Amino acid sequence: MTTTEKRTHDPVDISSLAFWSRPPDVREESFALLRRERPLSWHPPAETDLLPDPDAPGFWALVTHADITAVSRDAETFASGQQYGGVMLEDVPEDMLEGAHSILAMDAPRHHRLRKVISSVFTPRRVRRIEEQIAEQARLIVDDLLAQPGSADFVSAVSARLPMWTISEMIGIPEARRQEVADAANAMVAWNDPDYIGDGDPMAVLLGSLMTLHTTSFELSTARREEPADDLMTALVQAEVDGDALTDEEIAAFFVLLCVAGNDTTRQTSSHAILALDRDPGQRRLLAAEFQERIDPAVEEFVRWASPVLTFRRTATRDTEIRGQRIAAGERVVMFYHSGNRDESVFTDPHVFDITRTPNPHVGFGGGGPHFCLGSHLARAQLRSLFGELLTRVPDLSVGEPEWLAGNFINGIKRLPVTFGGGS
Amino acid sequence: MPGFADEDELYRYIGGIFETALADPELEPKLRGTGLVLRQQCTDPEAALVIDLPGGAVWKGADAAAPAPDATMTMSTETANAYWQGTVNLTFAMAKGKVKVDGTVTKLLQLAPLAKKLFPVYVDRLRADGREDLLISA
Repeated sequence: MTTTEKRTHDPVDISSLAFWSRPPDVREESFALLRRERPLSWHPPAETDLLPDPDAPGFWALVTHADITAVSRDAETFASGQQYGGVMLEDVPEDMLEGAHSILAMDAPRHHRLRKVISSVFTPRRVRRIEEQIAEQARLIVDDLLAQPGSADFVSAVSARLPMWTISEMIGIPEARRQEVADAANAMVAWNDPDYIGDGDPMAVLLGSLMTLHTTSFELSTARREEPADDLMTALVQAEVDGDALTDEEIAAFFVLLCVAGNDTTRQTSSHAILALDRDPGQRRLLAAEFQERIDPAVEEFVRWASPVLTFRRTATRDTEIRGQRIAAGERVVMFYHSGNRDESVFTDPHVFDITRTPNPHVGFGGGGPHFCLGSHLARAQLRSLFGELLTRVPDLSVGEPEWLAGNFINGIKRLPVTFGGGS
Repeated sequence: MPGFADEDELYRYIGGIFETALADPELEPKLRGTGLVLRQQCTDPEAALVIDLPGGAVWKGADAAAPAPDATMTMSTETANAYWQGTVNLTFAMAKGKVKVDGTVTKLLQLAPLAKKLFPVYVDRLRADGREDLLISA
């Protein structure tokens, strides 16, 4: 691979930890400028404490909707595999990629075969079957919220609970372990945030979480081999890929991916959506008044608005071109989904939260292609149920100021104070 | 899977990796730059090595002059042999209790990209010594 071409770094900073510690609307100003003036730009490597490397290569920033979708759909030219270093903006040790990223950091044909093992669990038909269960979970979560004395942290009381509940039931995680698993999954995307780093360092945040998740997975896979159940873990221990059963390690990596993807995405979308509805009471009234008619397009707008996953990287497998610019084999391209979802050439008034927006071809679940979000139907079902409960049963919910998560991977809200029922 | 017979063998083979790597003009500054003093503590049989990367030296565990480590990796000689051939994933091995790490795991994981360059050095050494019994087929 040839990666030796000398490139000039773009003056707009989207690489530093300081940049990724700013609120999303402030970051968006930089992306708006890039979309307008330099829709394809070359940047220094992301600042990182994980594997600091003075020789690390830079990356091409894909900030437009068109480039994100084109690159997502051409997985032969733009690969995700471990041999290319995976899909994170920051470099991660190979042992961690293998231990945590599973099919995210995999290419065809292995990616396709392994994804198939669980894709049947996430089809619209299967999701419809568990929708009743999700609706019941949403109802109980709002029961618990209303049992509190008029104020709560929306993230821990509401946003985090439904995804944790649903994915735990689907995988088959015992109730006593769910909070611990969700906390670990949460920390897996928060390695750059001072709250999570504490006295340690970003690598320790990741490794500690990984130990919790791997240990849980090893226990669960052993248990399901001995006594199968009707859950995803059983499907994984019984699956054969290329004629072989999956190893404990392959299952554990898949487990980590499912826990992280299952816990940390809808959680963020719920928080961003309640915040947006609070800040625009007209939109909230509109949705509440005609909930059944409006919720489906509203959910798409929730996901566009939140863009819970900020970045995924690909690596060029051959010399190619984007926008007439030569991209050398081995060079990295990074997709900035929040920016793609604010692309003025695709979305009218992209900075306006509009639950009636149609069409809404957002890239919040990815830009299409083989790595498109496996849980998109599940996420939609969760958001429909949760907001149905919230808008009808907590009509006076008032939202305070969010505390943003620092980092370049998940568009996170750590805490979001809310009041209701005359509480303060 | 086979392991080492004693501390001398551990020193000869695992220690040998670092002696070769520290003589490599490209690897040497990077290895020293990690600032990591690593103790490789083995069981079955009991044996140890201290790999002093900033100091550019490898010591037998029994040597009283060996510096204090930043991190100690404890594993069987069998796992150590596999680890330095690149067939052991540290995160899985730790979760399964096959490898125990005391001290800074961060520096150890940060050594990973360099360690990858050392695996072929080790395999070559085993081959050159006629130690096919220690080779693990990928």
